[in-house]
Amino acid sequence: MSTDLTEEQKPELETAAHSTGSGLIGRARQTEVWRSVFRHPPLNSPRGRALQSFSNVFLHLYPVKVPVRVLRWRYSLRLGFIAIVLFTVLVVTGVYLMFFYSPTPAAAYVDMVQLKTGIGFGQLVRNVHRWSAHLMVLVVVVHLVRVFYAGAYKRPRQFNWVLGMALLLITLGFSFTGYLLPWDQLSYWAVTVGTNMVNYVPLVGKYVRDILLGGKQISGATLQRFYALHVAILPLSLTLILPVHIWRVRKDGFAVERGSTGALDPKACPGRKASTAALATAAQNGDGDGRRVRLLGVVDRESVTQEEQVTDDTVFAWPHLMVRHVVATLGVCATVLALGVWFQAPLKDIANPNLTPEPAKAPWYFEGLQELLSRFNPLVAGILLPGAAVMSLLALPYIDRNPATEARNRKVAISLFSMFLGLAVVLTVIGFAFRGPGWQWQWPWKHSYIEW
Amino acid sequence: MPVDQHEERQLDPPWLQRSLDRHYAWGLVFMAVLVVSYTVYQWREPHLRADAAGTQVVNSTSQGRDIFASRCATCHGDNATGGQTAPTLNSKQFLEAASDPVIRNIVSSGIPGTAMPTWSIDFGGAMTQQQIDAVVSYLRSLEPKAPSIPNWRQAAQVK
Repeated sequence: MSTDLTEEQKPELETAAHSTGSGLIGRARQTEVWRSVFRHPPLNSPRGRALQSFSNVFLHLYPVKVPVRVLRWRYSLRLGFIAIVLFTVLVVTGVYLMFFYSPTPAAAYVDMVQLKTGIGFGQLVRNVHRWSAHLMVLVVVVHLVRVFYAGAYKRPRQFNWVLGMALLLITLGFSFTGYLLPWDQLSYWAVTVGTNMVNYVPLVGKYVRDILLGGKQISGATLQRFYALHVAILPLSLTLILPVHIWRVRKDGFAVERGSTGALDPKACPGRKASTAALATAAQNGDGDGRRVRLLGVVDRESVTQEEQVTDDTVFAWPHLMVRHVVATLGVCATVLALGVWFQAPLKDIANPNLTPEPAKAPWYFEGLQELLSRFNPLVAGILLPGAAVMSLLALPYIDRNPATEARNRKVAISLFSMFLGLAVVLTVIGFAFRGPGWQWQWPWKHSYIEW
Repeated sequence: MPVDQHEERQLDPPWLQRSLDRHYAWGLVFMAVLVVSYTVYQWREPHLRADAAGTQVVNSTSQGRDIFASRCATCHGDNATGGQTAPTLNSKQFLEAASDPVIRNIVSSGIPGTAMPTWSIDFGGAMTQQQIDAVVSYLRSLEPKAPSIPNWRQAAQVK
């Protein structure tokens, strides 16, 4: 029993012992309840900060220490983290919307109207859900682009790029299935145009489309299917793959800095001893991965202790990375709330299969494809080009074997990708903003046919 | 707490601590945006909701008029002015006596022992809840100009 111990003995026996702070919080930290929850020593020592990470399941997602450069906003623009925050916002708002939504043609549209008029926070939550969804597609795409230009898909992170591609496709699936759910003219025709593209797939296209729609055209069966995909299949898939994606960032090591050949480049750390630099380079040449953790494995304990003092460029994830993540979370929440307050999610007339709007546009991220289809043979524009694009993106880390990450040493990869990206952006912008009835050219400032 | 903070500062180089402080400042800015946005929402919400409700009533009333003409007028008469077998619904007394939930209930479940059937699709009828709501909106829209007919039940008694 701890009551048998003197006050002096307690801190020695319990790692959970906290500093003897004064005031209410200080006294609360001395209580048995507090110590049973927070079992780490005070956070004013390196040991305390490390033990806090070890003893907390949530903080355990983070490495105990991260390289200083990871803290900088410019390092990754925090895009991956922002995407996760947006996904969380979407889960929370989506569950709220589920309380008031039934996926039947008779009820779905009425539920949308009801959200506007009769349900507390209904329209606000729907606005936030919609703008977060669009933002998430955008952020995930920009994340991919940034990772490409940083060369962060290269060995040993090849497979994480593939996982990222899977997450991108799931995100698009989320957005596309969610697009149908309001069951208004916008959603009905956007999904009609979107699923018609599947028709161009040779041999199996028609069957795939039938399975997707649950029939020859969009109906109650489609709504049911898209709903099940949207609230069950896709969230499960994403929740399964996302932790692997994050985990592998840690296991494969943080991406190297642009312009550096490796995390342990002696030029990057002038204070490093020459012998360690040599070791580091050797480790890097061995498996293309020069993380210090590997290095720890090959040198004896004493020399590690010495090197730590000279070359440590890491800081504790708590508080430095975590505070930055909390701030990023607040920033994302503030952005989507402000968007939701000022901009209303669109709701047109109830879906009507006999009244085609002019122009009928796919969701914005497929409008580049739609634009392409309007210019070329459907087999080329609908299948060969996008298929080749997705396939080469998936296989990119295995095609591009060049280990360099600096732009000047990977001119071919960067030129090709930039051309592809430029084309995709231009086509999407044209389809999104510059097309009117009959897919004729339309200056958006004369008459806008922009739909979100 | 001040004691802890002082000790923590010594763990990190000053530039890192300054950077952390800048992030706290940004956090405060974002929280302010959240508070301001929510305040704006609270201020705009009643107007937005009233506008949406107004539009909804107009749409619903016009849909209800069509439904009434095709499903209800046979018994209750054109424009609810009463028929041979069913009560006159376009009556000041009826519309004052019957609240929206009461009318909705009667249309949904019907009245046992009379010619009034169950309309709700939930109970095997032909109308969705939304269509029934539309009919209620339509009847309610008649109230301002409804004539005074104290014996509005009469048609039913004639049967």
